Amino acid sequence: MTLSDLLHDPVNFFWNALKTRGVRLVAYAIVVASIFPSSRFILLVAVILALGSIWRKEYRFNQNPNIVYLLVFIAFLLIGYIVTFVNVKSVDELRFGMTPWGDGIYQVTDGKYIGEGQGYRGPIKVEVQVKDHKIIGIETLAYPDLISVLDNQIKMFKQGLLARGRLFVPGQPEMLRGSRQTLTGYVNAIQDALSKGIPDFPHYDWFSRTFLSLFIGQAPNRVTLNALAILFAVFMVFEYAFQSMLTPGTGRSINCYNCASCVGVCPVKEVEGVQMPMGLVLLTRLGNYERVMELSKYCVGCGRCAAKCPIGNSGPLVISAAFQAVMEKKRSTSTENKRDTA
Amino acid sequence: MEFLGYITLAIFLGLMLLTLFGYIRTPVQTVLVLSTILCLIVGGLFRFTAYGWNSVALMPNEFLGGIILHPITALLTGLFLAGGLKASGGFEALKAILGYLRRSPIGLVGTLVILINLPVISSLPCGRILAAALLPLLFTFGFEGGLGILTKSQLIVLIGAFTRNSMGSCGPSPIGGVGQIAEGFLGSFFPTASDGILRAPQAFALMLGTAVVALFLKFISQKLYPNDVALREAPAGIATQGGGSEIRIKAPIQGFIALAIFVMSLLIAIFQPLGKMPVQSVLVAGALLMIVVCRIRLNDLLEGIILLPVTAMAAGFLAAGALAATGGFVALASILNSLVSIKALGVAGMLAIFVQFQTILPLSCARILTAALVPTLYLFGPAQFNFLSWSQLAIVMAAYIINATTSCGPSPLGGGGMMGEGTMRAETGFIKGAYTFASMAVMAPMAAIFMKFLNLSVFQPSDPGFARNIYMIAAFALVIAGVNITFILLGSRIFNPNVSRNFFVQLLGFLFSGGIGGGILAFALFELDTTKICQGVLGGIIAAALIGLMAPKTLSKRLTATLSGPTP
Repeated sequence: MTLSDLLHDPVNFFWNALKTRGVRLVAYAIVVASIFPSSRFILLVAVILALGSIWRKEYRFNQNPNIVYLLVFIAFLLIGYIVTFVNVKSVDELRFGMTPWGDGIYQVTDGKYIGEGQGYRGPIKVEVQVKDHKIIGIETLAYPDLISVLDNQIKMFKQGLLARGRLFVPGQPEMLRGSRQTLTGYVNAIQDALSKGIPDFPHYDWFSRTFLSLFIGQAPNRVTLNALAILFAVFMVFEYAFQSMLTPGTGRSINCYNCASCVGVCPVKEVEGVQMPMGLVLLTRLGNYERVMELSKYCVGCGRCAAKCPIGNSGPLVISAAFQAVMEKKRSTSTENKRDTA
Repeated sequence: MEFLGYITLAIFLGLMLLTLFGYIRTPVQTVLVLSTILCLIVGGLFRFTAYGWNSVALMPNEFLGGIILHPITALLTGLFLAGGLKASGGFEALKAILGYLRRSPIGLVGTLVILINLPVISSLPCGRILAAALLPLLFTFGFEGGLGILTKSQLIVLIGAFTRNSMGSCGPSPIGGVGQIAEGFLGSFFPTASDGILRAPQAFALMLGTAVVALFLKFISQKLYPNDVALREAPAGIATQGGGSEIRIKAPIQGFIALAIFVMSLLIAIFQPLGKMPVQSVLVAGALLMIVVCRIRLNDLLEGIILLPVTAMAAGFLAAGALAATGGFVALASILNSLVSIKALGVAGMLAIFVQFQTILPLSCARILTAALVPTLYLFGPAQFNFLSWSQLAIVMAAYIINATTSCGPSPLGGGGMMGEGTMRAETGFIKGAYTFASMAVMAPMAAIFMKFLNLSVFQPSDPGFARNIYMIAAFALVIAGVNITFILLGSRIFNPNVSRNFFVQLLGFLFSGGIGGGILAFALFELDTTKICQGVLGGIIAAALIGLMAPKTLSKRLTATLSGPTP
């Protein structure tokens, strides 16, 4: 797969990309990163480590230059991080003198402002109304956290806020699961909204904002790790089932019950640590067709497995599908080589 | 709405029965999804006619609400960890440790007993994980496998008992086991139910049931189906008892490290010493640690995935959700309610049948029906029908769940027991009698007794009640095991070459044991209420009749017919 493939035959390029496990894994990571900002940094590190490990080996064996590109990318990340760090630090120092907390409300002009903060389970969005340098209204636009926290701690905080007309540090919430993060997120959302009402409030430059949004996201927490663990499991099983659907003739291997009744009747039973023919079926699920072809020389083609399998899978059937897949791969590789030579 | 419930329940049960009896030859998950779609179509049409479009629009939420993600993802991560263990040679390390044990004072027999009970000790979320890895090892103990330390008959018993123990170990598993579904429901009253209220009763019943299965296979199954195991005996002149050359099993160092990571992950997931965290996080972290430390590939984790239980669970939840959305459970509860109104059966008799439901209708994964039936069982408690108090509900749940989890063993739809049959080169159905007998006669009543006298009793070790309850459990264990072992031994003595007569003798044994089992369950629930005990006995006999009649009289000759054409 090269850039010229993408330009000449985009459909085929994307189809080939879809059939490549590595590309699919990176695509899953991108999907998760776009949905969960708090997972971006972890996923970025994971992808870099995985690619680094694979491309380092490739560089050793056939001098594949991908590892060099990766190193350039890492260098870009480091430089970007330094630039962003400097910008964020200087802007934060400026912001310190223009905070909307307490008496800082006098800097906020009249109007309605929308702000966002990160709660325990997701973003909290509020709309704050300011008149005569006093907070006169707060409306919750989006709130994904515990309703009991909204009904108790946040309600009390809002009442205090409207009574005083300015932003203050709330009391420590009761020990409800995640209530502290929820309240902090809510306060941050109000602060964000009020900041928008301060004229000339300093902002990070476009590079820092893009860099932070793309590569850092939000600070990962325990919930992020748990969500990532679950998503990892879900994507892996999806990936496992997807592989056999992409290759004609091997889709049936998804149905394998792993009951090994085919192993019981197979005259070969086990070779090279693989249970025959069940192992062949499971290898096609993984997309390891070359290994299936290697092991196919042991199959005597008696078809006993087909008679015994509760869903009608059989060794010869799987071998023929794997053979087709290997031939297809060879054909496409040779076509690419010919094109490259031409 | 009640009429709709009867229709959808009929669709669900009809499709399941057609699959079980081989009239529909597609994977059971496909049938479940088909059942879901049919139920939703029928339900949608009915609702549209009766209540309008808004009612139909609510259906997707109602049926998707039945999906419980936790056990699915926990099972998946458990499979990853096992995949990593397999790829890094962890199972080889386990074999090596067993090899050391064999040469220790506990000897061969002690090692085999540990080996057989290894699934319940490790309690993984699916019995197939250990079975897939260790059944080939068990096979090597026979003459054909190379070690030649066990005879054909002994090997059948070893493989059968191990598989029984495996296909039941998902019940007490705290990392995504089937039992967790019931524990979740009991959690609405017992605050610590999700910490494992059902775990000990299930594990105890499973160990006792495994022993009875071993005896059944030895004395009944091998006599009932003498020519249906293709394993070969050692040729004359080759000693089998310890005479084979001993093969030393070597394991890579990564295997031992992976085994240590595996055990540590399980301990952290179960006991949570680092604070509350989902088991999935712990298991994924363990799997990733294996990738780094033992230098395995992501593919190796994928290799550990066994799709059947995962998809069966997801499809089971969908089917259960569709039934719930269309009133199927209410219809089922009404049918069972009408059984209660039959005086001879009553609540005790109905429950004696209900707890055996999955043994009567064994599907390839226990999760399919459990997802559908546990909510129904829950309705019998204070939540709706008030047939049972919370304590009684917990007792029935313990009995029901152990039978449910062991139901994939005898299932001919690709159940885990087929792995054992494949390894012992037996015809499909060879182990069915032994497995269903143990589930029905031993495991269900034992789990109920254990739950009543130990898990639900509040006591201190110094309290005289503690000793009394322990004696009660021991006494019941002796009675249950003693009576059933007596039946097995008596039955084996009166077997003769007449197949029909033998089958009748076996059925009689099932009826007696089923009656006793039903009676004990009724006692666990209602104590010394004679009427209830009699009703329990009758319910147990009815369930036993259904189970016993479904055990094959002779085994399938499908394979022989395929190879050499139908025999006249």
